[in-house]
Amino acid sequence: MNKVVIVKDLKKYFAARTQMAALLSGRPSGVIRAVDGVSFDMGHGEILGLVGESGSGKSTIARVLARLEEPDSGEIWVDGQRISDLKGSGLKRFYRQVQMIFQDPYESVNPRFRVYDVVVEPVKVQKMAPRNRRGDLVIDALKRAGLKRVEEYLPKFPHQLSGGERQRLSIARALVVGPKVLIADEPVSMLDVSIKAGILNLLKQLSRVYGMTIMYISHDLSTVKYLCDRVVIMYLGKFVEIGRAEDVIDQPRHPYAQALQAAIPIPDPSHRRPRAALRDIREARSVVLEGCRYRKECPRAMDACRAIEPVMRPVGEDHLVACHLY
Amino acid sequence: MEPPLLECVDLRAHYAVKSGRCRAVDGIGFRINRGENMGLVGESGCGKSSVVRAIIKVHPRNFRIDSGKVLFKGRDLVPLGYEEMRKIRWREISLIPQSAMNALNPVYKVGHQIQEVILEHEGLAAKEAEKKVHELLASLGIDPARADAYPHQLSGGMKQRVNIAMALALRPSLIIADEPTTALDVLVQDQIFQRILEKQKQLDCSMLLITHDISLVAENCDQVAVMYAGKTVERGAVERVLTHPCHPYTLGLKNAFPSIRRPKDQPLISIPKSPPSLIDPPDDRCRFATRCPFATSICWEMEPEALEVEPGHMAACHHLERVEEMREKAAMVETWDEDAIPGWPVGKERP
Amino acid sequence: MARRSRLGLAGLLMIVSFVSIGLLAHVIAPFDPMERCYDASGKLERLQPPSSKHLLGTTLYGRDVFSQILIGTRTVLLVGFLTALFVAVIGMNVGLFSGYFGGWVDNLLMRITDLLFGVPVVPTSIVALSILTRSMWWIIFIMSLLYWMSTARVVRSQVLSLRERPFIDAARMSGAGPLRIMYKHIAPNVLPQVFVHGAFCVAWSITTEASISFLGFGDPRSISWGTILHDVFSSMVMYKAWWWFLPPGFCIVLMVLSFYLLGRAVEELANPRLREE
Repeated sequence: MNKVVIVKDLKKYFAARTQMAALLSGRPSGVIRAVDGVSFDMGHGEILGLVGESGSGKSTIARVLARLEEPDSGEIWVDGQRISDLKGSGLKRFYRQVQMIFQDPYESVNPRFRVYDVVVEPVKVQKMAPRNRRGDLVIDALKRAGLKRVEEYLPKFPHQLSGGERQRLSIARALVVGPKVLIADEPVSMLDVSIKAGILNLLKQLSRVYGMTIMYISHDLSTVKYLCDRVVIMYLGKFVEIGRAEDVIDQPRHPYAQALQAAIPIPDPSHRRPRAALRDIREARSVVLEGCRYRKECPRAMDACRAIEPVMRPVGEDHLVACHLY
Repeated sequence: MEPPLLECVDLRAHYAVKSGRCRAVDGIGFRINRGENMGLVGESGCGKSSVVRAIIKVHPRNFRIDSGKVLFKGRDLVPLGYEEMRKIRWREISLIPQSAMNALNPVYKVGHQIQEVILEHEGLAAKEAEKKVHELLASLGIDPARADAYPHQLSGGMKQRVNIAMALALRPSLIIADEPTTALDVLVQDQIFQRILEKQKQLDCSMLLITHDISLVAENCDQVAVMYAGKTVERGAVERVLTHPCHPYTLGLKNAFPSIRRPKDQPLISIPKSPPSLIDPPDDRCRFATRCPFATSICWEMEPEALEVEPGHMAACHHLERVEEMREKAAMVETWDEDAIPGWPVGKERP
Repeated sequence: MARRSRLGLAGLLMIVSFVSIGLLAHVIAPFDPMERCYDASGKLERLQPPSSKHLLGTTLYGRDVFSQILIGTRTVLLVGFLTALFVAVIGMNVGLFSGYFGGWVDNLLMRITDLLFGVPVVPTSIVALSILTRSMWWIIFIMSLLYWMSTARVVRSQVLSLRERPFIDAARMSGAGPLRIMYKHIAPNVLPQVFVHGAFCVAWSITTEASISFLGFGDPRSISWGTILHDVFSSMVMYKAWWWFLPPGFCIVLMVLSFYLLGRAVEELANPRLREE
């Protein structure tokens, strides 16, 4: 089956600038290995969830896939074309294929642009339509993003819109170029509960109805389960588990994935969630160079974990885990 | 019968702004008994942080409490002056603030800041206070040596635990936790709440948890009050309110809240439009009517009163007799479709 | 907030008045500012105190002070606005390029900025004017070259923070190149600060020009409030003719004050709006 996005052994490192970062990387020269060798693919119309806590590297993967940063090594193919070293006009064409929406609805839109200007900008830059046809593209994109009575929105400024409306505006801007791939970096984290679902349902619809391939990044397993077909769990720059959403979230195998799942509070008062033992969470996590990165916090660490880095192994149909327990 | 630890009676407060009065607290009532935790649930702009400000009376100059009572151990806090409130803060009621980053002074070591709180209110020698600080930190899972760290050297979770240490330093009877884990990862959040609950048992103190996260309330609280547009719309025991909600807003929230235990094909709903402005709101109608799928003409003519649905469980809605039907409909996505909700009185001109 | 806008409004009103006066100077002025005035008996009206004929009296050479002040307004405003304009253009562009590109561009531009900060404006202007010619245009030019730095610095720091905002990432992802991003996406957000600095710059340039002219290095063919002050000081009769030195000094102070008030009022408005919650 043709995969829309293929990523092989992607690495992205950052130079550490502060003492704290040097502590985190465990190396005196101070390099943060934000993404340290990940591989995955995404099929047409698939929604892939990328889950991890802050510092896991998930946003970095998003930015590298969006070519806002260049990868340090590894290969990325989108729709059969290698994008890792695109520049100039090639990069501009790439942005017709891949778009991104961001976490903060307040910061994702230029406060000086009206709604119309925000959505028409990519149309102008990409020279997608002559002047008299641009308005149609804008209105169509805003409608597809779920805004009603679109004409009323066009002259408004972002500060006149609610958080949910602003997020839909960002989505309209992303949709207007007709991309195949949408990268959604925590699109609902900063929205109120009562409007999260609207955006999530919209993303679902984009994938089911328009066949859009979506990468959904989040730290919130509950929304990931609702939205995604497959899920990847990340820890300190590496993938630890990948598989179908129901499998990974309901029956996680990797100890870190299990800890994450067990820590999520449940809105049902009658459900007694078993609480994990109180531990001093070592917050300044140093990246371990040999063996498994999770071994310092893993309740089931073994000798092998110190020596050998685990690789992804299948534990079920379409379900892989990187852990020596399997 | 012991009086409740904290009781708010029809509390009303507002901010004076250029365009009028922002009535952020517009008739809040709830009761926290000793040994109980209460969750105050609401979304952004409902006024829940303002309730906190009204209780501990730390607020900007344009904020004023208009009416109502805040009874702490039977004593009304509203008319108290600065000195008397100062004696109550930290000692009897303390606060775990929302933003860990902003609550700690960046130029002082964290241990020093906790020590200051202790020394301000208790006549201890510096050495004894220092020892107390170390004990406190250890009990929250922080290495006491970190007392010499500056806030920027700590992670978000550690900073929040320092805030908790400060809040608990003087063994208050009530802790108010204002969105204490919003910026934190889920593993850290879990640990923090476990620590708070553990310390609560040790110190016999209650907690008022302000949050938008229903699941935190479900797990950590006994009572819950749901806030919308400055008012309490539903209130009661957590088991009752969350499993048998009565107010349409609570119904909406419940069906909008994602959970990993939810079946994957059960759709999540979204409440369309936005909460009304708190500036000079109309008093002659239900505040939720603009977004309520069940609103009828009476909802636009009269503000609903808080009625008791069952002992200890109240809701402010005109249509409580139809609650079964509302619960059924609220689970369906079509009910909450923006076009299906009129948003203004049917048959009248759009306001 | 209302109080502050009132001050800003006051500043704006004063500026508008000055501009009107400047525009209408030649019409309002009862005399040619360089004209020597004689009374009915043919005597030169030297150092006359204010009267109905000469509202602000006359100078040592019999010239009408009031007319000089009026014509001087034009010069002063021209100098102020033009310098501010050039400073805004130079400062904004340097700040944009420096902040957006970073790297060696930023280093180079910032080192130039640092260097220029160390240059004392009035002495340098005097030296330059002595080498070139003493004309108002050279004064404007030199001041523009020496006053753009603080605008550049402020713009640069704003650009540094704006550059990291998601809407700039989105602009990159629409395929826009660096120039488009700088001028279409970032610049509009930086303009308020540029305007504020522009207002302050008018004030600085007026006082600088006044200093240069007062010291005798101003444009001999123009009249500005600084040249009037130079005349009155070099005539050595300053203490006798209060009507000759007080008005120009007072006007300078008033003009500078009005631009400061305007600048500060805009600065208040330019603060990021409180986010709706």
